[in-house]
Amino acid sequence: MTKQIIKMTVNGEVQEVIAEPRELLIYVLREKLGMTGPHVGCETSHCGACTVDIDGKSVKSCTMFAAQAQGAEITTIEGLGSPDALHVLQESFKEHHGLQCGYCTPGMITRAHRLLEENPDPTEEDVRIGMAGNICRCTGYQNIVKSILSAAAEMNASKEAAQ
Amino acid sequence: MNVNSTVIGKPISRVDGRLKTTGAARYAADHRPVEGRPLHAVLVKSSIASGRITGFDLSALQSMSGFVRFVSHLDGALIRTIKNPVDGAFAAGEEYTPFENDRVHFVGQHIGLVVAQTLEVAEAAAKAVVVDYETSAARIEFADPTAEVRQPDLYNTGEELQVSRGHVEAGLVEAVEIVKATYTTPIEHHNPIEPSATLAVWDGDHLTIYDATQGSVNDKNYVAFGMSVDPKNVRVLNPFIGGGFGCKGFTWPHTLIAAAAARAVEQPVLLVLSRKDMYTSCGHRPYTEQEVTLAADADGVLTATRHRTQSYRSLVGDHVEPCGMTTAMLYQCDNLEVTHSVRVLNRPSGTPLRSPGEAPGTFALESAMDELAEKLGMDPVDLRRRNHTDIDQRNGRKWSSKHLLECYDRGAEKIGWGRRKAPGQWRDGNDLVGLGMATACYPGYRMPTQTRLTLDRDGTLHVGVAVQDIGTGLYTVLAQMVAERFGTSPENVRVLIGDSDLPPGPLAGGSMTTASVAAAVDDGCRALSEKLRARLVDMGHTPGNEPLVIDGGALRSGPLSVPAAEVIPTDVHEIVAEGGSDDTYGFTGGVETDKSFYSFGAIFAEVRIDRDFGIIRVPKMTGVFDVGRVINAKTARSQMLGGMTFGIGMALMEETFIDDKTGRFVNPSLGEYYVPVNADVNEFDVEMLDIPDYDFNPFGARGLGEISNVGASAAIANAVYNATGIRVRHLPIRLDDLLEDLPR
Ligand code: FES
Ligand code: FES
Repeated sequence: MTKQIIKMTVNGEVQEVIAEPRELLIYVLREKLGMTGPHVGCETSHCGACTVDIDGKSVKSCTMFAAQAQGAEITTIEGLGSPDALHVLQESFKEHHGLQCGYCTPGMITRAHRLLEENPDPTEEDVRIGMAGNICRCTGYQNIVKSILSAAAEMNASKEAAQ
Repeated sequence: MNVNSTVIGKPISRVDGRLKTTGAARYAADHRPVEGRPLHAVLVKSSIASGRITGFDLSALQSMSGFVRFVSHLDGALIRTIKNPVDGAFAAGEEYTPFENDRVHFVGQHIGLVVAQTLEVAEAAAKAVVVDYETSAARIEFADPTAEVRQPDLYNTGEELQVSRGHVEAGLVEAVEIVKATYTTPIEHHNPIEPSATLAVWDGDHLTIYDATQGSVNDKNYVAFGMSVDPKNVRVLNPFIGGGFGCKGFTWPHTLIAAAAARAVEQPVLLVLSRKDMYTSCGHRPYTEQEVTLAADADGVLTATRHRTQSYRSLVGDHVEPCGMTTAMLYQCDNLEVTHSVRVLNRPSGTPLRSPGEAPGTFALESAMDELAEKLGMDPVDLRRRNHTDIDQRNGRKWSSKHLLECYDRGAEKIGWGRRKAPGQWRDGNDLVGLGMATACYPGYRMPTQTRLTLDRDGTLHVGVAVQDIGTGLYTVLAQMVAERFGTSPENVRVLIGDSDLPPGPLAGGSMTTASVAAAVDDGCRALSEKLRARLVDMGHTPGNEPLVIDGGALRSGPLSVPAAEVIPTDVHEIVAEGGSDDTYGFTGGVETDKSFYSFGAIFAEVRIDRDFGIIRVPKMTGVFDVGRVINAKTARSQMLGGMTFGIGMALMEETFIDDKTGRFVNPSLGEYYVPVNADVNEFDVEMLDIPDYDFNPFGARGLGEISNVGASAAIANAVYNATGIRVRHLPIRLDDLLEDLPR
């Protein structure tokens, strides 16, 4: 198959990769760019483990061709924070125990991040519905909801303080 | 044990939280060989249920750029024949050797592997392999009259599967009320969000495997045997596992196939199972049909109990779903019969799935108890209290620590059991409301475990053991145990697990890891402490009898305080001690004791059912558990929440369908196999009594990963009955089971 050059910005860095038209975005991110934070859980857009942020939207990267990301601005979990400098949401998931095995967590946090951009002050129900596309088999979700609500409160408080 | 510990029982945040929230934790498929990229592999699976392979047509593959190799049984002895499923040194999920011959036993059996430069090419090539078969008659249907029926004597723990005591017929005559009913539970799949994956890297005759496994030591021994290499030359790494729930417990063919392929192509090979592969590659919970008979006198005292389970096994896997094991031990009853039979079918193999036996078995037993209470006009909680016993009914031993009555009391109070009304009588707006409950229990298991304890010159403690954290929180729990013994903070302890080169420990199954490491860590800490004291004496100090504290870079005992850097000779960098325990509990051949070990609990559920549409919601669930000492309040509570959610899935959603004609699973994807999502669950109320069981291990903990999933489906089914007056004796319970008969 004819390969093409795909140019995209990933976590603030411009990247150029050569990929076949049939290569999925998740594959290019994981295998060609070494971003193994987003995981593959289902390949059918149901579990959300592969969620990344593309041009301001949550996208399941197992269901998108890399070629469709030409020129896109992509954020993965690696772009939100690092072990030494956690994002508020990451800190909150850690403290409220919003994870067990952690396999769903990168997708969960990446989706939660976008959810809070869309709706900075969600109710519990908003969170449960807004996160409905991300499956966790371990935790039973309660602590995930708590983590997101607490991060939202903290982010809003620091926004207010800044004003 | 310091009951006022500042460490044990505290809600300490997981020590791996930073790695897991940032994508920095590496799971099996995230690892890369030190040099270069691995080749990608995709399985070719059988599309027939019975027969033999007569040939492969690979003509379409040769022209594919990036295609590297196809391996199958035609490649000769890639894998050494494994005769025995449990060959002493290891437990395999199936008792056949992959690629051994041309035989096909079920749809989805691994019959070949494509290796290619990229995943896309491997997938395309795997699709392009044309397999020629000669099919033979397959037995797929559960009721196939020609299927062989077996009555196995023992479960894999060594427990009896055919139990009889007293005279059931005599007990039936004594009774005033008898319930006799058949309950069924469906095929269910584990569906951890991480699919199984293996990265196999050879270096000469040394093999390193990054594997999504619940048991690195078991994996190592199995692969070493299959590859005909010394187990010393195989290292299995599994620092992070994306859940397992049993399907990564025993080692399955794909791990061996990946290792064999990597050796054949002389390059690292990464094999990641697809979600669809997962349905036929690493087990499932088989369908069960359970006939339960309960008989009681006018006071509700059980006079006879009978629990007959029929299930199936594959031709190559010997899993039996042991539904009646709970029935044999739980309630006081002198006349009892428990039987298990399996039909041998051309279906994929079963395997333990979170609380094997207990989860489907208590659905039947605890539903039948509810039916009996109804017939007797008794409160269901009272009926259970009436038949409560402090003696293990199987062997007459006393329970080491049993506080089930307290679980009933606390649970009833918390859910507001007093609000319960007669079936179908509680309405709230358009909802029918009901309450139901069930008893939960799960055996206490413990396996031999060794540990290595190390103190370095910074005063940091290290603990190493070849166990694994499948999500439970073991990294944190181990740090807490060591911190407790040396009077320090868990931050002062580095935990090394997930590596088969470490001192051996058991696989993560049977909720036994915490209890197993507890004894080993206790002994390892004792050994290190003795070494350090001897060293202090050598240095001319006189440590007192006070416990040795290691904190702030120094060793302290009473008034004595010596910097770690001085205690440790400059030429060694660290002081190492090994310790462990060879004791086994809960399995045959274990330690002789006069006690029996089990965890107990009570689950209460409130359901609300839409009167017009029959939609079932579970707004409230309360679980009160007696699981020994809780080591970490946060991780333990999270296990319980997750287990109860698993229970909701089992009660209301989860089912794998099989096509009886072809032997194919019909819904092998997360789109068609429903698991609970965020919007399906509400806040649960979880309480743990936190009563230590020091007879079981020096930290007093019993397992808790599985018990939370036991009883939940019966509690919900019983609540559905209470809300509607409709008794559903199969799982999952769906709105179409209710619609026709809903009280209007
Ligand atoms: S892997 Fe993309 S949604 Fe599951
Ligand atoms: S933490 Fe395991 S899937 Fe969510």
